[in-house]
Amino acid sequence: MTSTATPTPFTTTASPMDANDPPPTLRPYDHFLLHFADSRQIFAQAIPKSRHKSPSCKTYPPCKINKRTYATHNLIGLPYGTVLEVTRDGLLPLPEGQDLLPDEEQVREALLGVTSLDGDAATTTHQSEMITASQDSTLHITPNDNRNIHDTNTSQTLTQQQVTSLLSTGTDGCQIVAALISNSSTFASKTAFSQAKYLKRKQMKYMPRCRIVRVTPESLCSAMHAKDSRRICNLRSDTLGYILSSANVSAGQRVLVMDTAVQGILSAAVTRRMGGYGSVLALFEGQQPSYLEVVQRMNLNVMERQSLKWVGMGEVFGSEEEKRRQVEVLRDESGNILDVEKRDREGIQWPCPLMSHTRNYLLNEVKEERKIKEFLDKRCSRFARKLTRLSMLELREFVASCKERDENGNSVDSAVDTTMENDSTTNSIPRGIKPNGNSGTTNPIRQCDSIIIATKYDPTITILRLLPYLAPSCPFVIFHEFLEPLLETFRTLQNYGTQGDNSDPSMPMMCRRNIAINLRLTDTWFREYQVLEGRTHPNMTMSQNGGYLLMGTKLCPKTGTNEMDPETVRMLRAKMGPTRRPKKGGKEKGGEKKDGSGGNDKRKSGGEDDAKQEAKKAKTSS
Amino acid sequence: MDFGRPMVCNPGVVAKSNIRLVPETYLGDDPLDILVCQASNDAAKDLFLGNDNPSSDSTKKDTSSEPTNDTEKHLSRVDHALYAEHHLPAPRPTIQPGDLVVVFESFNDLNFVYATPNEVFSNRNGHFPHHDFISKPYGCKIRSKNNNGLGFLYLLRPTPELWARSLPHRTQIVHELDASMIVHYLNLIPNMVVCESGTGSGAMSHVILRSIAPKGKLHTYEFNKIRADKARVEFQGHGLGHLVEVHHRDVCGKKALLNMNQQESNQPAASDETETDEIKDKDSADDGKGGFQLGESAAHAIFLDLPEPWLAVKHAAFTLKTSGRICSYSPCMEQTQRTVVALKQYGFHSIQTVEARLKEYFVDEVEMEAPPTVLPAIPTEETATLEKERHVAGGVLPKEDSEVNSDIENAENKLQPGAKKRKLCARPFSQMRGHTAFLTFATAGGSMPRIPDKSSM
Repeated sequence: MTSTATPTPFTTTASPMDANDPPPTLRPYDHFLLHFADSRQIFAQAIPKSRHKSPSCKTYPPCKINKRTYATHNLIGLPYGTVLEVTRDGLLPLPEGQDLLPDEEQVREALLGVTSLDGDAATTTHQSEMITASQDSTLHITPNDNRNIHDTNTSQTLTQQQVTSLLSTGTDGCQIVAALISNSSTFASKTAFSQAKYLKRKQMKYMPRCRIVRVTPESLCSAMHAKDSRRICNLRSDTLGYILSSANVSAGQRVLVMDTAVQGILSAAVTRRMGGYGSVLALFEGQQPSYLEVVQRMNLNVMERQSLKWVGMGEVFGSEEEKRRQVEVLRDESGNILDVEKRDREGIQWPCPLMSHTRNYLLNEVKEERKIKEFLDKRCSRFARKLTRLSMLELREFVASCKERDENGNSVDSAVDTTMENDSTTNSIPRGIKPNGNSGTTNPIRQCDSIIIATKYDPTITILRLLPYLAPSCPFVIFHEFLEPLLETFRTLQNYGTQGDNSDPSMPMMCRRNIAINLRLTDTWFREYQVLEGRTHPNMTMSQNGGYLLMGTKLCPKTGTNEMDPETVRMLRAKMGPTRRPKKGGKEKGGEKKDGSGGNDKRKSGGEDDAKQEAKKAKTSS
Repeated sequence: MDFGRPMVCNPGVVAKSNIRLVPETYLGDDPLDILVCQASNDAAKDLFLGNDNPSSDSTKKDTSSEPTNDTEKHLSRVDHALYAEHHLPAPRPTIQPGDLVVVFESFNDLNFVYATPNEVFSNRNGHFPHHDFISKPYGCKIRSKNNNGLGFLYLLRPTPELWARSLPHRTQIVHELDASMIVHYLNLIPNMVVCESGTGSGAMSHVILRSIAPKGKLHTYEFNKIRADKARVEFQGHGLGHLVEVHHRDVCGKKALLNMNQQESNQPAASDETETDEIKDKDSADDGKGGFQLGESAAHAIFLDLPEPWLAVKHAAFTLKTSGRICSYSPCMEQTQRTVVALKQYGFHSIQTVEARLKEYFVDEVEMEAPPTVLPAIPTEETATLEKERHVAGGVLPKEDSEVNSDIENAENKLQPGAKKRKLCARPFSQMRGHTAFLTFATAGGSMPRIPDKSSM
């Protein structure tokens, strides 16, 4: 072992991660995406013909397009970005430079060869010229328009049966498109743009092509959003990007992610953004995360897998007492805690010699060499997995080391007193402290650098329980499908202690306790454009919602909140003279403050004014 | 900023695992033991190389040739010792002299200071000596020295987002939502090489730097010398000097283009001449030829924030690696259209133009009263007479008992308990940033013309 327990400067150790080039070509067992011209996005995996054992290999259909399964072994080694043609023989890679839509030239050539059903060769030639004209069309006056086109559904003389028979006889897609055009009575009278659109539509249908696209957080999220946005609570890709930036995710950090509502997309995205440096604490519910398949699609490497640590939710939300009880059981006579998993792991040698009974079993019962190999492969992979896994106790210790502790070294259970849900008796700064006494948490505290939450659990309770894991002055982001649950969270973080009916309405604004500042409740509006000469416009359909975000910065629990008691404030205020605040309910008016903004306690600014100021600021800076 | 600090490495569970390649006879000469070693080596390769595993490449035809350097390089990576855990050291909990601190005055008033003893930060709420900041934890609240301590502010740890909101604007800066999307859609990950033009106020550079730390490189190009120099000093001051190289350069090479135009037309317009002169004055280090000067296929991603991005596309095509991503940020659709045409010409594919806006919500607790239910009093004979009498007497007759009672009843009606309801409500702010820019993303194709040719200009 070359590494020592004491931290060494980063520069002394070379890491294989230093050259972090994304692989240029498709490797065996890589997951990838296929993008179609009609904006379909399909997940696929490159599975070699002779199926090897692989950690990432599952019985996952290599590629399924239109209910048909296609082999992907011939795609291994192709560069990302290659265009494939979907044929009856499988996915055929096309030479470089080909686009998702076939060249119009090809159809034109085919068109010259096809005679329309009524045998009028003259029209065909005319139509092929039309296509040419459509290419250099600009904003000149177009000769054609739709004044003579009537929607009678009779313009196409080729019947559905004829098309199906053409398809079933294995006619080239290009020929079918040409036949459709030459049998369309209205094609020639369409405008050039309209012709191009018609051609594009027919090409997408009869000459389907797709492109090999790398799985990145962006493409993963948009593909899953396109497939079933409800399943990921409408998390749109731009929102995902905004989450990553607002949470200040970067290499080397410690990030806590709770993303059960979005199928693990956030864990995967954060892990990739951190590139294997630092740690991601991904909270999951149940016995094991149910969305490993999604995370696997990111083709994570060993460093990234190591940085991604799956933590059961109980580790964070469970009671300290129960945790202690669990550990106490493991204590032996001399008072040491016995970590069985760790002991077993440290007992494994590499390579692990065979025990005599295994040797006998292999020699006498399995016998066949192929089967012995298979057995040994599985055995070694299992050992490799065991050797690279933290034990439950180690993980618990690690999680405990992220948590804030009070003066006595006991971990703080919540950002505020948990009794707040029932009734808060005092307006003082309460804090739920439970005796810890767990001697296992010897690690120095290193709180998380950011927290990202996307769950269906109550966001208010969730963030209050997670805030002790966040270092002061660090950001958190909460994603939710709906706006309303975040309102309560916003209010609680901004105004803890003055909310509810118990609060004293005469209490000065100055005494409210904000746990976090820089609070923002946002959503994003995202629109795609078609950019074509003379035809630039936003896409006809767009996503209306990409989820709501509540973000903020945690304040230091000791020095960041109000240190004055109400009496002092009243005294100060009396000294300062009469307030400008209207008599009625200081609190409601106080709510107009956009968040726990600093400044002068006497000054009051409405949120509306804030927005105006911001707009003004934007104007002056431009 | 924190992400620029050197990392520490700890042996993680993988580095301690002792998983490595071993000689096939490591456990002995027994055929079964040899098989065990082989299986172990395969498992080790699978673990460390994953999909990169050269042994699983056997289905590919071209790997049948003798082991190349590539395979050896791959196999050298199968060693547990290489996979220590790297992480940033715990952030400094307290503010030290010289630290960059974001001063949060109010939501719209962010400022920054470099904590310097004996200096004072002053705003309308009072005076705040830096002396008070030092050795206070980040995220703390500071009271003013005057004004009886009524004024206050918060001190925050800088992040690129907070920095963008507090920095001195040298130019219009990329909006934070756009910045996040650019990094996301360019698929930036640690250790990438990225080009940016122009640097401007450096807000976008900070966002890019965060995602390419710890060993990436940002080449940022700025044709304004003053801005370039200022940015260079700023990056150094933020501890990011090792991640960035500021070039004073016009990547479009407009000077050369203008010269060429002049030679062609032989009768330069007066306006052209003044423009070139101006450029000449500014550009002393810039050779004026344009381009990124990094060689072929040197960058993983390029971000263009230029008035005429289409002029830089051919240089970008030369500098980008195959499958590298490019983003062009233009406020106007005409710029976007010309850029898209240029991108298609130079073999870029998957071209996508998008626009995003940030909608912010205002949250308030609204008190809602039930509409009043008090019936208007219908005049009776009795009240009518009373009213008449009162009118005659000039309205000074004392109220009768029955009237007093009804007043009380009315008051009670108004104060009916439960008639008021409080509800948390949200609405978008009445104003928002309506437009920032169109973002055009594209992927570099493999077959694009590698050498910039003059004919296509």
